[in-house]
Amino acid sequence: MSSSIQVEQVHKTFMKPTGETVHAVGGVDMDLRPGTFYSFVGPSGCGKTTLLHMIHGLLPPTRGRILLDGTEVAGPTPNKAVVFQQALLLPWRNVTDNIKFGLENDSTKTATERLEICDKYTQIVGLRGFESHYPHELSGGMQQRVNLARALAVDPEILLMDEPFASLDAQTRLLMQEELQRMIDWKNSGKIVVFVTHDIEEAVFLSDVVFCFSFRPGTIMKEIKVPFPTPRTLRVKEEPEFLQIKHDIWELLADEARKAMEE
Amino acid sequence: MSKIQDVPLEETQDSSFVASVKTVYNRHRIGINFCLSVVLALLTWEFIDFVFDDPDFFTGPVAVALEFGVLIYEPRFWENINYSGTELIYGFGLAMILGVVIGAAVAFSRTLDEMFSPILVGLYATPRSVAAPLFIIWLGLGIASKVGVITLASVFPVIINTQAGIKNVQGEFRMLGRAFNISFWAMLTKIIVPGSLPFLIAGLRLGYSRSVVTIMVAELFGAEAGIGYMIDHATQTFHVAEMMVGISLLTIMGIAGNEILKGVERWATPYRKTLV
Amino acid sequence: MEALLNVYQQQRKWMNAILGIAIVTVFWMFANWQVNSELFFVGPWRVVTYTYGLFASGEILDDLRISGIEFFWGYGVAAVAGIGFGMVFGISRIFREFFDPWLSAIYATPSVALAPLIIIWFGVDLTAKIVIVLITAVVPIVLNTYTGVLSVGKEFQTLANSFCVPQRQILYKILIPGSLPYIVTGLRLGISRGIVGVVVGEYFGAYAGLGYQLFKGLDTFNMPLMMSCAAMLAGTGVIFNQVILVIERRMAPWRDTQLQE
Repeated sequence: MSSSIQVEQVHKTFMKPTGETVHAVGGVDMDLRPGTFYSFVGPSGCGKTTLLHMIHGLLPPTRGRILLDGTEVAGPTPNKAVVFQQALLLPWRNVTDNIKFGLENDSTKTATERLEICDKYTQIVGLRGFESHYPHELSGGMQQRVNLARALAVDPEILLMDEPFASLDAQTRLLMQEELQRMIDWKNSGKIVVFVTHDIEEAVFLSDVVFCFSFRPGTIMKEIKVPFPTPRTLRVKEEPEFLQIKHDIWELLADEARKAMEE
Repeated sequence: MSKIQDVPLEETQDSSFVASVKTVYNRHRIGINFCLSVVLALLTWEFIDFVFDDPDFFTGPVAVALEFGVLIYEPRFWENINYSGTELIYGFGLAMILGVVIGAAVAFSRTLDEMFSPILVGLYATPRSVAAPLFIIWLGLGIASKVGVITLASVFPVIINTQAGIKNVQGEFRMLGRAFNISFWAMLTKIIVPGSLPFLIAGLRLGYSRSVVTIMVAELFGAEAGIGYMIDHATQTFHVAEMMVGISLLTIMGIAGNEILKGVERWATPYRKTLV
Repeated sequence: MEALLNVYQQQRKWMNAILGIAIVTVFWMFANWQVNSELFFVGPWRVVTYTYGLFASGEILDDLRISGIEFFWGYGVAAVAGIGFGMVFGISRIFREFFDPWLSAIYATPSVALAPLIIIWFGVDLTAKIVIVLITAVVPIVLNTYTGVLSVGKEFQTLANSFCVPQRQILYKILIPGSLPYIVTGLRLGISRGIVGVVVGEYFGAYAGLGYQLFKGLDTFNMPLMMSCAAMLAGTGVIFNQVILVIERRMAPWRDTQLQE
């Protein structure tokens, strides 16, 4: 099970209710390989989330096409899963049932198998003992763990993450970054991971490859390979090479971020 | 963060004729659907009339409009409107004043809150307009008994919403007021009143709609004049067109008052996004 | 004394609630003492004993049964139809935009004003009364269900789509549980309106029922009967309201309920 994704000359244009058009994504090409962690980094409104949604199939591209193993993406499929920015947990389901949400649509598994899988991922994301808690009883960090476990539970080939740590406090965020690598284990399972963020450090720390996006219409300005072996520890962030990469990306993005701010 | 990238709106279309019609429809779809809907409603109404063809049983919009045209020349008709209008103004006005005063009292005093909130919440769940016959005995067949019932029926949403509004603002902004060390008066005028206004107006809108319903209930059980009285009278003589005129009048009163309060809401709290 | 104050401090919520009821009761008794005429006013104790008398002699049982049947069927159909229509309005955009003016009109029309028309259409028998209860109770149920479905939010729809949940399942996995608090609010509001519907319905040519007794009291200047009936109607509203709240707390433990209209 190793899929690859080709993004070919993809554009996306929206129309506002006022009739004004917004060119969100402006001609993106990329080739995503299995067993790799990719980050999309760029200023607010650069179309990186839109691109993520298009890869997922929630939105069709206005022009261009996105191929998954050679066939065009037409909609969400069970081999893709998304981790949302807001945890989006169903308030009427407890932790176990929330994790089970995606699994319920897989008719090849029996109820016991589903429970076993839920159990496994509850363990992996470190929520043992919280199985019967409702979302409002969990902290933000725990909610994001459920959000992640729900996506991992369907064992997707492609894992799409839309700024999953944006709403966490700084310390929790650091710890989650470190743990995330263990939880996903994309190298061994051959998953493609796409991680959208506007935190440059986070992108460099987690990724094998970082795509830097320009402001609207979003295009790829640079594709940067991060050489450190995975899994990484937070120590990596202090190495001169790491800092250099981070610095280079900021040089590249600073003007774009300024444009976004003045918008 | 800009909303555009998260909320995909209409896709851009090719510029064929069908597409441009579609675009126009999409842009004005709410208005177009509204008009279609109203036209369809009137046609259905008239069609049912056509099917029954019995003015003692059902009348269509045309017949109702004609009846209305006849009635406006009768002084009795205007007397009825005047009567119900007076009931509404006094009843709802009283509910408004009492509601704000009681609501503020239970919001500011913890003891009063603990003493009377259970009773208020309990009464809120009761069908209060069934007390109408009692009011007739206490206050007579005239306007006073109707004002009493209308006040009783519509005061509770005002009380509960006023209380909720003030508590909400206090919970959120008390620390801000403390931090800037402002006086109680400034706290009241600068924070509590403007902050609880949206709740208060929501309460007034609910109370108003209760008021209009209660006009009907109160007058039904015994009155000297009024729109409810007119409907009841028309029922006894099987005068369906006149009944429908009465019902339409009450509906218009309901819509008009609600729109006015909505206008007040927009004027008083322009910083709030209008709800769809 | 200090011990007493201590108890009060610890249990002040309960104490104050009881104190509040006591104040109202004393006020009521005082008013009764001042008026001192059973034609105009009746004290709380008299209401209790009179109501007990009605039950003891069995003369109210038939009225309770008739009003109960009217309410049961009227409110029951209103609940099912109201939730059903509210769901459809909430789910279908075409339906919603198209019927929105109708909904506003229904919201603005005082539904009890339609009662006389119902009487003309259905006669004065039980059916007409059930229909009156139905139309008075259904409005808040439809409107709240509809608001509830809209409140569930696009993002949960997106969530379901992204996990490939079939459209049919979205209804019971997302929309119904998500709008449950609103539906419950609608059902609670429907109760007191339905009871008003019972009374209004029985105004038109009934032979039994709590509303009928209320009007009999008015015609015969029987104040104790009127107040007893009013108290029973009000009590029914409170009790049903509590029942729904308890059911909600059982069914939806994830949610703190609060009163809203």
